[in-house]
Amino acid sequence: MYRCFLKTAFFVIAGIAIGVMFANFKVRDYSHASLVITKDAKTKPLHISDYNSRQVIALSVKNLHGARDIELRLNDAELQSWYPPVIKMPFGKWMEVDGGKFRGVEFGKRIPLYLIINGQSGCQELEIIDSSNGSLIQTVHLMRGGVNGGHH
Amino acid sequence: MAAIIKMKMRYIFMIMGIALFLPPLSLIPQFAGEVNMCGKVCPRMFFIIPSKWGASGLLNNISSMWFGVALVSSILVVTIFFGRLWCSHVCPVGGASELGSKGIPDKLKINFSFMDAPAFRYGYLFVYIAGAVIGIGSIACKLCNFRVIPFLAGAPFVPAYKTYLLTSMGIAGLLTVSVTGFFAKGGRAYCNLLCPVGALDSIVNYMRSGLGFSKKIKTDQARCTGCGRCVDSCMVWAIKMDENRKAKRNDLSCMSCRECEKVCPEGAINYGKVKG
Repeated sequence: MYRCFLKTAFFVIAGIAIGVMFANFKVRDYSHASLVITKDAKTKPLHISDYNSRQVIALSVKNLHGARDIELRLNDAELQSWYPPVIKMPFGKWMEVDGGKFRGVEFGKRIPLYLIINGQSGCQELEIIDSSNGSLIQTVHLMRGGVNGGHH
Repeated sequence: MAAIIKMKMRYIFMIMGIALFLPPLSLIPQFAGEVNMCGKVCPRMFFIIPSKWGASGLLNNISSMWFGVALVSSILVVTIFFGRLWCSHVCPVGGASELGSKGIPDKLKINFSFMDAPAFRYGYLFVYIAGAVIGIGSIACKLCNFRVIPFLAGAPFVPAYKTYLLTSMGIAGLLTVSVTGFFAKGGRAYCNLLCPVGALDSIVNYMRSGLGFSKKIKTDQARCTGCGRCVDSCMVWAIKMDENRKAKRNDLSCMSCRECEKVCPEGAINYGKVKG
């Protein structure tokens, strides 16, 4: 009975320890960030790792701007999204995606995006453009060396 | 033929789950406007205590992951009546792990049965639910098999999935899923130890196991000869032999897969109403 209790207590502690380890697991080449597209918004800078090699930023971009055609531009970077689905079902409405260009983005829609930064350049600017008329909606500063805004 | 189909029915369901939920088809996620098991479809993140504590934080979680909430609610309702059919028969992620593990030679597999699974699981679940609010940090998305396995399925078709899998985070996730899935005996160690939905489902399974109207797997102790085949067949090490060499099932881990029922030579194990 006593041994059974000890075994249970040991594994509860082991579960907590593994949980704490997972919760604090961080890597230098991958981070999460989120961004809201709004007109004339004062945007907080995105802090990215000062890692000198390739790094991927999983950016969740929420469209709270009226524009349906949105382009994201970042020098020396590749932009990828997992939208649209490989096989589109007829009942869904899907935005068209071509690199950093998104067409038919609904209001409130969240775009999951990977920013793949290859270079070692310093601070950069992510430009968000209404591609229907070419006007700039927002500029987001990417600051190297800071702590990212967190994981969700 | 009918008997073979009956024996393999669970595998047919698992393959259907994989086809319906995972890329490239992603039929079910597309109903919620998603293309994989993340975003609104995520069945895991909404029950993490949000940093904005209280009803508004919870409502925000539910509204942003409404499909996941509906999915988990349905899973728990089914469990009350029929046992853990989602986990054992439908879950595309657990199903992919289990089917993947069938291709790995047994001598390469890790046997996790030395672990007290319920104790470990609820220790981990505590951190999963409360980690962010008590300042430990959030486990959400990190090393998540609901991310790794759909991304693996979609990687041949979508470059973004490959991009994730080739980052250190993706590689660590793949390693976790491989050790606790593909290379685990039974292929379900992640489900049994780390999956928060499985942990909630197992609590419901345990609590409903005394309700007369619900169905569960039962062992007729008088017919049990203690051969131990059910112990070997259990992928979540829920069956142990008691001091009288009789099979004893732990409802906190049992996944209602009915594999033990199939291998019992005495027909001592059956699935039916708790009372009846």
